[in-house]
Amino acid sequence: MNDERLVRRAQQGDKDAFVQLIKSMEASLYKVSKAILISDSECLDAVQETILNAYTNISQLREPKYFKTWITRILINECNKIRKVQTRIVQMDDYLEPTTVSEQTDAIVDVQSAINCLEPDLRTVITLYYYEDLSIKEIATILDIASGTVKSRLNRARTKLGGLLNNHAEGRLIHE
Amino acid sequence: MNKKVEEQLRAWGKNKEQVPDFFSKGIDDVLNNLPETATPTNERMVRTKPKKKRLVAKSLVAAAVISFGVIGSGFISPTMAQMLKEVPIIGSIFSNSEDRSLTIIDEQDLASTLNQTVTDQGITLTITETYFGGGRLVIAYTIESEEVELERVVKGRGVPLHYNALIDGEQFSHSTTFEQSVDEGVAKGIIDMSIGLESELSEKPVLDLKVKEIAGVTGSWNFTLPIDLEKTKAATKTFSPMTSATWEDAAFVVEKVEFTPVQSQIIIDRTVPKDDIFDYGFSVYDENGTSLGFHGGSGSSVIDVGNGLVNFKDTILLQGREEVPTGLMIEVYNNHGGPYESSKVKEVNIPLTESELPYTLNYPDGSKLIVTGVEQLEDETVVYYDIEGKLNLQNAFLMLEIENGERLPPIMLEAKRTNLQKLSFSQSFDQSEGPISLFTTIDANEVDTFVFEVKLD
Repeated sequence: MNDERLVRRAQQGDKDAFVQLIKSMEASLYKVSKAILISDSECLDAVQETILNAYTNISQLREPKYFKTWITRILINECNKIRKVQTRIVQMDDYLEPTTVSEQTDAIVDVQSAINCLEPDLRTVITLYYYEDLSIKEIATILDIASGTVKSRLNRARTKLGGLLNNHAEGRLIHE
Repeated sequence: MNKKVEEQLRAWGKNKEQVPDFFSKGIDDVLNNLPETATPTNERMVRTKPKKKRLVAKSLVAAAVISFGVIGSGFISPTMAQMLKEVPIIGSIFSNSEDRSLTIIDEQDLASTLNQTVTDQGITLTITETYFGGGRLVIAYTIESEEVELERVVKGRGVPLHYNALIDGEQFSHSTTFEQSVDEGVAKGIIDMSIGLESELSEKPVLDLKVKEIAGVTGSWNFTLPIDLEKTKAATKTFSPMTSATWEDAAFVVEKVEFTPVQSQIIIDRTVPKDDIFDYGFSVYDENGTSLGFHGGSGSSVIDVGNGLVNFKDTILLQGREEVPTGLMIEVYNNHGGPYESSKVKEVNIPLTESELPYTLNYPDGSKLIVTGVEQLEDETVVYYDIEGKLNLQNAFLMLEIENGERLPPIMLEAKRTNLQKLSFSQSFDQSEGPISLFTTIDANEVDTFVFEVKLD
């Protein structure tokens, strides 16, 4: 069943359809939350809140085709709530689980490390654009900013990444 | 644009990595516990109530029913509100809260009765009581309508109404959770705000509450509510220690400490280098080093004070307390703004067999967590441990791994102090049988700490 039909069924109260939708988005939810938050446990908190929020309010969604944009926006709001507190108060339960690193090529691991070094705002647009395959306009809607701001953030992120990846490559070359 | 970077980013985007197991399980947990039917609390598509002939809710006493009838035309009658104040319409809504800290408001008679009513769009909203103290503003209400279907809202899982609020005409930062129950067609709910104020309240503060949507219906339910501080004052212990401490280029002043049975708060004035504004955080302990819990927090506006420094106030919200400590230990953290590296976090599994205890976990900064014992009781599993070094280790991330590999989280967020002479604690988990181990992590990301003491006289 395609996602739009699942969304419609979830809107009619079909819990299984909602579960199927969320499970199909698990990797996306993880990646987007990880772009904003550092700790895996905080990412899970944000995603769990997002799921409950989406389940409670899915009937508000007028166009099922915008489900992904809609839930991503909820998730980013939840992450920002946590981040706002996190920046001022280091929680005592500051526990962290390491990300599972699968069999990735060196090159991709390098890109991931470089992305981790970006400011959260830049990391978010890079993730939404390249990982989530969202358009500039969709990202602008999700983040509630102008399309021009998305473009400039993408450009700044690419420039910074260019510098980081070049440095990394040079460093490795010398090391070798 | 650098073509190579673009190619690398596109390759990265296509690499759909595996989600960690615990994350996937956490999603399954929440999906397995969804209510049977979604409760669209603020859906735009308004659910119209079936047009059956229904009498007004029986649970309201006659006085209330008559009053709603009289007032139900969109204005507030101060005379009627005053009359209503003297009539016990219904038991305190706080007494039935899902949140234990709010039932205390009823038990200790800390709420101020208001009973102001406004009707618009066929929906009658009555603000019955308020409580203000310890950085928390709580408002109890009832909603009655023959026009819309009112829904139950589990605490923190829905938004039954939308509003704007001002205190003394000023905006204030707040985060809100709602809870609402519905009985015989009447909703009884609580708006629970954790708030941060830029300045002290006036002697007789006023809350302007403008409700603009109820159950998906747009309308106007405006209230001007006096915030009565008298009842709260009796149960509030307030200190202004003005204790200052400096660490590297940062200066901290503990300006206000307020304990109430419902919630407590500490306000710390912070002056730090502009570039380090987000690098610091706090944990708060009593004079013996026991955590005072954590309920959230907020910050005031940032003021540029020149010489590369900025100043603002942090409001740290803590659990409510009946007993007031004689002092505080404030642990300040500095992560130096460095990027967080997951690769520096190591997973550890500690076998919990008596023969291998005590088991000492050494942290990169020299701190220690020493597992001293374990009890597998009929109804729970208790793990005992001592800590040395950083106080926040008392609430270290711990999970119990049982025989089939499943990991159980602690029952309570906060550890229990078991000995005041030593930094000894325990954490309880669900009941377990057979071999078990303790799962935790050691984080080598650089975070420096500094502790200072505050006397509360």
